[in-house]
This record gives sequence, C-alpha cells and structure tokens, in this order.
Amino acid sequence: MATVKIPSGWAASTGGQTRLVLDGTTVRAVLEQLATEHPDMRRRLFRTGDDRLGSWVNVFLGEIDIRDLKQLDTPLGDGDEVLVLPAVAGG
Amino acid sequence: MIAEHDMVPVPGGMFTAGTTETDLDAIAREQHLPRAWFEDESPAHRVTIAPFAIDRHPVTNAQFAAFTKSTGYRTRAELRGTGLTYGETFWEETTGACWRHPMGLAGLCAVQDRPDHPVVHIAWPDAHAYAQWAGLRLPTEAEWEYAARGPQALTWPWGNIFDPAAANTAELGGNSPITCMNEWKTWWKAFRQEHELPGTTPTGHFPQGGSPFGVTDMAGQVMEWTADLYRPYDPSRYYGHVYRFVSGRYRVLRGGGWTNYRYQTRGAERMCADPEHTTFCIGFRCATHFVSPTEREHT
Repeated sequence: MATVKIPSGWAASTGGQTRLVLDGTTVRAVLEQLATEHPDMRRRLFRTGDDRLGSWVNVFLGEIDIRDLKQLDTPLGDGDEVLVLPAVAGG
Repeated sequence: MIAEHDMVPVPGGMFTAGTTETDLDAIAREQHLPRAWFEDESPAHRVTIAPFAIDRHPVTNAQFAAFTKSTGYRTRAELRGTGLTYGETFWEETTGACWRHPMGLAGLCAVQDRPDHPVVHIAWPDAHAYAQWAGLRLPTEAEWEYAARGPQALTWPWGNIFDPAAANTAELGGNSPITCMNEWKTWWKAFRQEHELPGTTPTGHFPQGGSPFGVTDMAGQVMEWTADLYRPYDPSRYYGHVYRFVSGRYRVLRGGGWTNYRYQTRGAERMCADPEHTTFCIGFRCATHFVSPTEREHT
C-alpha cells in the first residue's frame, strides 16, 4: 500500500480527497489505480493515447523525481508516499 | 551588446510587493479560483529595489533566432522533440512543437511569420542561456514586480481597474469578465477556432497597457521566467503542501499569459514552474544593471 498525495486544487476529481491510499508495487500501478477509480485524474496524469506520464505533471517519491529513478516503473514499498504535482503551480 | 534590446531604465525605490489579506478576500469573492491559490502573494511587504534596466517587451522570435543562429543553441523543447500545447480540452504533447514551430512542424514558422511576437516554448535554462549570450540577465522576481506595478504598486500595469483592451489576455475583446471555468472553456473553444495559435500578439501592441515606467506586455501575452527560485514570502506560514514542496525547486513565472484571465495577470500574481517546463504560453524578458546616461554615451 502506498499513499498518493495530490494538490488540493484537484480534489474535485477525487471526491474531495487529497491523500489516497492505493494498492500497487510500482508508481505506475498506484497511478493507474488512481485513474481507474477517479477517471478525471487520467488526463491529469497520462498522455492521451498511451500510458506515459504527461510533462505537465511531476511525480516524486519522497524527495526524488521519479524521472530520475525508474520513471513509472519505480518500485514502491509499503508505506511509501507518492507526491503528484503540476509542473506549473500558482493561481 | 550582441542582440538589440530596447531597455527601460528603472530608478531604484521602495514599494509594497505582494497582496494584502483584504485584497485577497476581494479576489476570492470576485472569481472562481480558491483563495488558497493566491495566498502565496501574502503578506504584502516593503521591498527596496536598486536601480536596474529591463527589456521594454519580452524577447521576440527574431531576437531568439539571432541567438540560436550565433550559437547553435537548441532549446529543451527542441531536444525533447515535443512541446506542450493546449488542445480542445487539455494539454497535449505536440510533436515538433518548439520556439520555431509553436504548434508543431505543420504550424506557422515563428521566425518568418511572427518575428515580432514573444518567443514561446522556453524553459528556464533556455532563457538563462539567452540572457548570458546577450550580456544580460533575467530580472529578479521583485524587479519584475516593481517594473510592472511601479512605486504605487498598481494592480495591473496601467492602474487598479482592469481594462480588457489593454492587454493580451483571455478577456481581450470580451464583453464580460471570465468568472468560472465554463466561461473559460467557452472562450477557448471559440478562440482556437478563430485564431491561429499560439495567441500571442506583436510586442508593444497595447501601449495603453504599459507600466508606470513604460514597460509593455507585463500583463498577459506570455508568462515570463524570472531569475528567482520560488520561495514563500513568509517561510513560517503554511500555504499548502504544493507550495511547500516546490519551494527551492521551481522557478518563478510572472505576468500570466494570453490564455489567462484578469486576476491571473495582476502584477502581484505569483506562478512558478519546473525549470525544465515549457508551453506555448511561456517566454521571458531580460534585465541588466542600471545604465546611467554617462555610461550610455561611452558604449
């Protein structure tokens, strides 16, 4: 189980939740589950037509950008926290 | 100087940067985005600015072309092979989209078709590299805000009342403010059908929208990179986990762009982005130390 944390501005897509506990042993698995449970999240995460991460979003495992790890195939341990951020923040 | 830059001298001074809590309350009442999105403009605080000079307008396609021709520099978007454009309903990775071809290879050629428009699809390292080549630098966040708002800290460069005809924003030509996402979507649907994208305009196209110092294109047009890493104005205040995490990682963008609406193009509005991030709304302008009239005579 891993916790995925999303911006409060996206909470309307997840029924008001900004911290979601999800099953999966890779970043891809938990984000895929997030997008399956909350379909509006899919376009915020993935490019249209494939399962690659959009460049409009950054995903961190702890303090490290997953693009500097194994990208979506980055393995997750129990209790890991995945932070999803927009590449542009602000009003 | 290698590239020709029309730079505006800005005398040093003091001003109140940021936004007061009272004004944040008003912004929250008048538009659809949550107050929390703007709260990082608070607290309003006094800032002392040393004399400097800043580009009258953002760096243009012609200026950027001179840079790449001289150096062979390739931007982040060119190296990636894709650039971000906004499609019918969301961001899209567009193959070949970069500063030369902002909508991809099938779209317009920025150098030939729009030499006097601001360059777009620029990442922070691209802007920094250009400024170094030109013998200039990026403005600090505080310098940018002072150049846009002046000593009186105006809300928009021209004053405290929004004028939709004074800047290239999503409200240009509109009869009423954009006050919700559905109104923005309606604007976008019509705009992308009626205009060749990106929706930039020639620099200096709205002289009535100039700042108290005569600096143009500071509200809307393109979001502009500044020199600074994003930091909260009050380090002890909690602005939300996103702002906390991006502090020290993202770089500050100012001014809003042609897809933004009035409140996102205020002089105090803070946005920030991953330094590698590029879209067809992001450009920059340069700054330098203050050039005195005597110094200018000897250059």
